[in-house]
Amino acid sequence: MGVPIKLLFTKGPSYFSRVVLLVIITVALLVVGRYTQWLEPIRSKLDVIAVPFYWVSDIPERVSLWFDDRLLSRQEIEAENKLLRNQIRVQESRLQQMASLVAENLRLRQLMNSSEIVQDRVLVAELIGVSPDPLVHKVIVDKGSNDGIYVGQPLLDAFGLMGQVVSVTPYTAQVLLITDNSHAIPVQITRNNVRTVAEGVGDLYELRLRFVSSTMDIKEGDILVSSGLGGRFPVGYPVAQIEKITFDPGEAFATVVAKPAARLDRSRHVLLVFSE
Amino acid sequence: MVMPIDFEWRGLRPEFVVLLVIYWSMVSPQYFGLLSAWFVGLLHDLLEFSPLGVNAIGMMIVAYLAHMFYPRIRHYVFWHQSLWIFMFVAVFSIYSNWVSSLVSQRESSYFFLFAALTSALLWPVLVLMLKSIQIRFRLSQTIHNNY
Repeated sequence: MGVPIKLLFTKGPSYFSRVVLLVIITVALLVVGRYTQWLEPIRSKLDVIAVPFYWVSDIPERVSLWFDDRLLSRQEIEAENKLLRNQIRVQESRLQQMASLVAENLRLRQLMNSSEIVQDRVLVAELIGVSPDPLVHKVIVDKGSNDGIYVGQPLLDAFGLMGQVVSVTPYTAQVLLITDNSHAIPVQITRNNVRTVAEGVGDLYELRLRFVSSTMDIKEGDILVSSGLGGRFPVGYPVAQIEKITFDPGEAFATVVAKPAARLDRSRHVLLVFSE
Repeated sequence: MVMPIDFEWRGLRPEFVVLLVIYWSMVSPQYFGLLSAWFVGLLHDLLEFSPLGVNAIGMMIVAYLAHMFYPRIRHYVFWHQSLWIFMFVAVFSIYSNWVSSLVSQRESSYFFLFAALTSALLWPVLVLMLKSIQIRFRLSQTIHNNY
């Protein structure tokens, strides 16, 4: 072929038209992704790519945890051991009461002909990643579809409900936290069983209750538990505690701020609940 | 990129990937074009769980700006470059904040611009680091330029 001759018009489409083409393709991608479910299967396959990044970025954390576990003085271990034993003693005494309460509850439920509450099976998982975007409240746990995790599964920590699984890969799962902007959870107040919906507002320490009328019986300090409506979350797990209620006569509804019960920014060991 | 950071400090996370895109589009615009920036953005979308394509467009905008201004910027001193980098990353942040507000994830204040600030501060360090990598592995033809 010899030396290529330098032609004047060898560039193909111009720079600008290439930009326009790419932008059009991307916008089409965005619109399809936003308004249809077509991209979901591809997306869940592609999410596997993100796994090693999060796994690697978690290494320092794991190393420091490893050191925390290994490099302990004898005194510290003894103190911890004592503390844990005391905790177990207290909790065992509470469990004794619990047994009789469960029996009573069952009897009452049979009297009322309502269905029994089944014990939920749980799987312990570990957090390996947090969404880098401050506006997206998602975390990644180290259990995936290989462990039987499914989309919609609730996630708990030791203190309350954290969120629900929104996408699974074979080895990991993405969990949307209850404080995310796009998340809402049906709850009820333990004091009087009033049902409402708690919405995330994009703040890790805050939930808002929607459509609380000024006549609703609700007080600061009330505890909200999941109501089980909607069929996604199991009944009775603590969600939040009411922190502040503002009734503005000019507004149709009150502004109710609640603080999530789960330690959304600190818990590393979490539980995935199998509710069926 | 996905390094865990305390929740309070997450707004300050430098846009590391944007800086990389700017750097490579200024160093070797003939190899690192818009399409590469687009793919990097797509990968970034996957990592950030954002809708596919958001960061892709953002990266393309940044790469376009870098391609437009690189003959000028790469002869500036570091702090002057940092000013430009601040502008680029700010454009990216404003764009992505605008898009997230379309899908109702708004940031109420201008706090998101802090990311541009930290990115600008990180720029000189990053340039020194990448330059040594570049020379070491003879990655680009433009080594003997100011870069």
